[in-house]
Amino acid sequence: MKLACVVQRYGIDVVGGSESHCRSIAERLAARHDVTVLTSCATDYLSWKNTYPAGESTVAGVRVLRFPVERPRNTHDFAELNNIVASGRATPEDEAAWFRENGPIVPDLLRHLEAHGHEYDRVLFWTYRYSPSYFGVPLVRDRAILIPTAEEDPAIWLRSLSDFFTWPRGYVFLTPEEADLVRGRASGPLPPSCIIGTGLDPIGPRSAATMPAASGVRDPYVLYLGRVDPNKGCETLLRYFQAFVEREGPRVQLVLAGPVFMPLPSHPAILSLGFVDEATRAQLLDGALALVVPSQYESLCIALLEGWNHSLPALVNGRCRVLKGQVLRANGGLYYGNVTEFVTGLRALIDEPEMSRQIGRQGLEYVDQHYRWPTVMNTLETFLSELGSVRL
Amino acid sequence: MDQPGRIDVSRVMADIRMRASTELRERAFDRGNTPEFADAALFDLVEQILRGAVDDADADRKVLLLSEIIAGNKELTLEPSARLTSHRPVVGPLIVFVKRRLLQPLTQWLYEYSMDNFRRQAQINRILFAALQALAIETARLRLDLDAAKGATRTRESDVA
Repeated sequence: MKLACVVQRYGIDVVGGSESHCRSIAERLAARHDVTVLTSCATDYLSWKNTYPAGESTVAGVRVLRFPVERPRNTHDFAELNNIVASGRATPEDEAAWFRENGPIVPDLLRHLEAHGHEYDRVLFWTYRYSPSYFGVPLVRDRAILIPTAEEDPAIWLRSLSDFFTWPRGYVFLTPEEADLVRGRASGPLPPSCIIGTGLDPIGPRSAATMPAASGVRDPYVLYLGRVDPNKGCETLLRYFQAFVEREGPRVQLVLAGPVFMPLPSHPAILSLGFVDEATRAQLLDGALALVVPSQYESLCIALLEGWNHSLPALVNGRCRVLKGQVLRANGGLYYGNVTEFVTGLRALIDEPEMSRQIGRQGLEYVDQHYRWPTVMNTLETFLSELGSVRL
Repeated sequence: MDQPGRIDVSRVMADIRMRASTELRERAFDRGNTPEFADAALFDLVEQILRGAVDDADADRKVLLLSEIIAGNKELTLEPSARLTSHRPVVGPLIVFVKRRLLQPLTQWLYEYSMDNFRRQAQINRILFAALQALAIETARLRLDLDAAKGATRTRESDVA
């Protein structure tokens, strides 16, 4: 098949959930199909400043067509539009303006889809929220496959999405909860879909090596992986963890591994390592007592899957349906809905080590069953080919 | 069927929630000076109603009766987003430009701080509306039960007479 993958940013140095997902899938699809990635020249999702040269290139064996961003994002206008959208009282014009300003504004990419979209058997769009998908899907509706990566954040309540969600020819979801969310927002029945999540490579047995003393990490510790940001639930995590220490004493350390975007309290039981490389990340996962995931908005939590890949039990925010669904399906973690449940859950993970280890092992079994690349790609390939036989 | 050695997380969670609930009751009873919470069954009911309210407030923009009743009343509506406009016909666009490009960037930090708190307040309001709705439903149900019981008593009394 001749496939196009449309995504807001693309490149080996581009960090981001949907961008990494797109690259992983595009590289694997390229082994069997003629794949072209259609993207912008930007690497920064805040400014959308052109960084890569426009035109054709090859990234890890995949053909990439980059289109220039017409203008960077106007942060003031965007902040204003964001507030209007969050208030729930946006007009259709406000909503269209929000999608435009969210960017990246790449008119040549849309012109390419208009002129050449019919040459692709399928056009896969990553993330509904960015301009190339929102304005691109209507141009190739008969062959558009949307990978919405939808979360329960304010943007999902934009009224124009009710119709938009009925337009693609097919959907690729990351979790059943995401599928339910989009189904609940669409104004009509959804087209055919599949649920693939993402793939992970097996990592072998856990290493017994501990983190060097100089790192400040001390056993036992619970680990948070990812951006340390209020939007990721870290403010609440820090409050809950401090409540745990107040009630239980410093029985465990909280280690935060990821770039920091918020003030952190100076607390003897909280350690922030900032950004860590892959090797340190793996070592931290091997040595942790549990992985804590406080985020409220997720379409699929890859850090949670990574933790399970290291047989690590999880303690997750139960108010996030995706996280709660993931741990219940996997039997791979506990969840909390308030501070007392957080304290009780963490206490159980510390006091009942055999239970903790077994829950971690069950998480690994779940990853083995559902999230290995051959399984993921098999589901996707079957979906694409079956969808093809319906109308092509 | 359960595999041997396999742990069912939903069962573990039921146990953890029970322990958390007991702990919460003890804290509310001891430190909250709420003697009613000495009764565990009563506490469970209260907790269930309040938890339900929080879940309802979270549920996919569930329509809450009180929100609907006051909807459209400007005096009771949080207006967090400031739409910069001017009523002046000629110099209006210039005034809006000055507000947007000069004044707004200067006050952005205060605006963002307030917005964050507005959002939290809106969510707290939703939870309170949901709690009130749950309590109103309980009261209405009790009133209906009471009316039915009174009716049954009157019927029995008239039958005896």
